[in-house]
Amino acid sequence: MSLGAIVGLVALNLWLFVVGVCVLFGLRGWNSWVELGRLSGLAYMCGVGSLGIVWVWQLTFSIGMSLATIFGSGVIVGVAAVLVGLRLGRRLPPRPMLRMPPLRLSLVAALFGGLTAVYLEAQFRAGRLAGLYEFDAWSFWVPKARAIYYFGGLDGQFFQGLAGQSYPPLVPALEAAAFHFMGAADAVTLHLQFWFLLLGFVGAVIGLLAGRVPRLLLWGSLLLVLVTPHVVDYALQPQADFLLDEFFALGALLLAIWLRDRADWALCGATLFLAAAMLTKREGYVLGVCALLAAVVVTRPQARSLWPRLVAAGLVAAALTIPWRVLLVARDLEGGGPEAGGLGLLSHLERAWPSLRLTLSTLFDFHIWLIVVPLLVLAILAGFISGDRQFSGYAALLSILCVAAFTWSTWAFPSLPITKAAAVNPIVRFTGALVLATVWLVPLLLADARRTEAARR
Amino acid sequence: MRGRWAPWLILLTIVLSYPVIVLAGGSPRFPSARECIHPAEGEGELEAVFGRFRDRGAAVAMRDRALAVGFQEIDVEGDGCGFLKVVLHEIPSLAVGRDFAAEARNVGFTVRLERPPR
Repeated sequence: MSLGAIVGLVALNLWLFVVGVCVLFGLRGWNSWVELGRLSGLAYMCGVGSLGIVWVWQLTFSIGMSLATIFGSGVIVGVAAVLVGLRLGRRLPPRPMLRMPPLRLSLVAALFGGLTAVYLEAQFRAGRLAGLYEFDAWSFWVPKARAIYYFGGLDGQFFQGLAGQSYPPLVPALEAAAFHFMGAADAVTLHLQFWFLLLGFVGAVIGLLAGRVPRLLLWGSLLLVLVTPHVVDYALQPQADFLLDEFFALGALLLAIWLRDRADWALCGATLFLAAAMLTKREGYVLGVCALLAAVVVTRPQARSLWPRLVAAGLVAAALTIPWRVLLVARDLEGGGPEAGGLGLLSHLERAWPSLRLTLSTLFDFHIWLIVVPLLVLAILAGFISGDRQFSGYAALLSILCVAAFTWSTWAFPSLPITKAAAVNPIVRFTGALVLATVWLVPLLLADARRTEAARR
Repeated sequence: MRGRWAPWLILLTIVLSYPVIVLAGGSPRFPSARECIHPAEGEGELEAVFGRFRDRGAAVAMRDRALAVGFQEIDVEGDGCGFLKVVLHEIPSLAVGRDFAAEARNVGFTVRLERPPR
């Protein structure tokens, strides 16, 4: 750990941000520089998602990973996104004046924003000297990253010998990029890369929800999730679980925004994040299906106009993972499908109920997720009673499908014991996807209910 | 006007409070090389340490030099304090260790007898 390594990480994340700003310009543009500031977290996550996808493609096609290719791929993505934006008629707003009117900040935002900042400062302090203790992190995520850093690509023999062969290399590629910018394979300072991702996720959610929900609901919900024991302990672990959850939560949030506003940019953004989730962990496919299926069901009345777009989004997201799937087949690596096989669930029916019970007991475990999921259930009920039925339906279906997916993850893998022990069953980490989504689900649901009640009066 | 700045002031105060409180207790402290050394005393298994290095190349060169003059099973490994030590493990007693240190001294090595880390 050294100051130089931290400066290197800052440089990498600035580069991801710059590329992400270009992607955001291509996606939607911005009406003012203040709006760009508000969406800077989203821009950063767009940079991580888009460059992550490009890096997976790059490695799949045996293009080595070096500082030159990290910059080169960023330039290609950025220029392509800007050209698309210009083609779609996006223009930059007038340059900011030197004497801009002062930005207003509410008391609630100051207090909760300050608390969130203190939380992030504490996480930074903990991550700065964190050891590489998490089993999956040292057994294959970081070794893969080191191999990419040292050998430049996916060394066939090395990757064949590691566990988790079917996991796509988005996170190892990001970690290898971090090593390049730090100047060494520093597995301690590497934790801070995941701090930047957490910061970006928090910023993206705040930026997307600001103005849509009351501040107290937004900040309260965000802080509640951030202080859950599992997030506190595992958010900076150098493995793919949290980035998967972050991509999924953002993808599902953008789908929700698309459902309300019908803004095409939101659907394109959701496609980007769901594709990135699929290239982060194989669970990303299941979560992507959950989000898209929930959106498909609640748009049934407008099926003719909306379903083709949703189907296209799903197909594009899945298509972006094809090169990686081809590589798995070409190198005769594990595909990562369910251990029980296609119809194997039926021959393991005895695991169905224990798997569901494990999922529910994990989601409702106070020592893991505090009261986040009970609050989500109450918010969904409030939404159905006095909110927007379509959005409440989306939230309810998304939650139910996620519970089904978590249950399936234990049921379809008979070698996994029915336990929350992280070393032998990933159920706790997997449930993080729904929990991170509650950061926006709860405030949107409650804000809707409140708005409708106020209108009734 | 004052009301407009008050939330910013509150935010700044909260944001700065954590680093100020943390840094008031001093910056993180790491054990020095000296604090990582536990000299051998009494009976029990020991290890003979040929030297500690920050640089792996220097540690490997020292090990190779020791191997070249006939010592065997000399390893290079981290000492848990950020240094690499060139070490021979499993010396059964202090008496055997002293004999070994004397032998090493005769061929130009300064060997320190230490208790292995627990």
